Amino acid sequence: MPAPPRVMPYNDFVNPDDKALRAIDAAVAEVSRLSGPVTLEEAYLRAVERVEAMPDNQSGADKTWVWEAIERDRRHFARARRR
Amino acid sequence: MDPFSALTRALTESGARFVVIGAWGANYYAQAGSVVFETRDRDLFLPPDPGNLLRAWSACETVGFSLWAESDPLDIPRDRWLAEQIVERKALVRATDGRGLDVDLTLVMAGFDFETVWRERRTFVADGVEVPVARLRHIVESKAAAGRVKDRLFLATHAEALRDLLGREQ
Repeated sequence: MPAPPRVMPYNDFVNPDDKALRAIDAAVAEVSRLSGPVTLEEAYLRAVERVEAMPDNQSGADKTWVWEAIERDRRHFARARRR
Repeated sequence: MDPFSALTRALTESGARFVVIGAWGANYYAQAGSVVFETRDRDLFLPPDPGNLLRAWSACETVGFSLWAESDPLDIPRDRWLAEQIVERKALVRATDGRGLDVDLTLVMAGFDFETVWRERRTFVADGVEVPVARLRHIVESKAAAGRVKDRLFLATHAEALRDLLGREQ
């Protein structure tokens, strides 16, 4: 029998009670159990270098849009109210 | 102009050397539609140079930021002697606008010396202001060297974001 699909905890994050906070706590607890030095995988470092090499990540690139996007998100979530 | 842009402009105009590091620095490499990181504070890496530190402190005050060392206001007078003590102890000074923006002026970046990071920096533009930012590779390698819980969480999230981004492009 094939293994069941991996279920992402999406519903935990959208449930309007405190499950979202518990999911975050669980993620932190899982990482907290790890110890010892962090080793970065070669594939990740190659991905980082590909991102660095992108034309819009060279000196002189205008990144104002990043801050505008973050500000839009902040304003959106600041207005959020629990029903 | 937002307070962080005002601060970076004042720092640059003062002649102070600094680079943006940490999760905030990684945001400058974000691509449209990819993950950006919200972080409570922003980190600026400065060289262990008392003169540079004095210029940075003065620039912060010029644009209305107050300076703190741990939970106390930074001692006065903010003179060369004090800057030398801060450099000797590699102590952190925090600049805050009192409205939720905290900027850490750090002399330490795990695994790196300032000159290496400075030499390979990128200079991006935000809000019309040039902002020196550490290489993304330096940022992630420093996170790995620091190895705190928040660094591990950042690396896990960032790796997944890059996988998604580069996967979409292929």
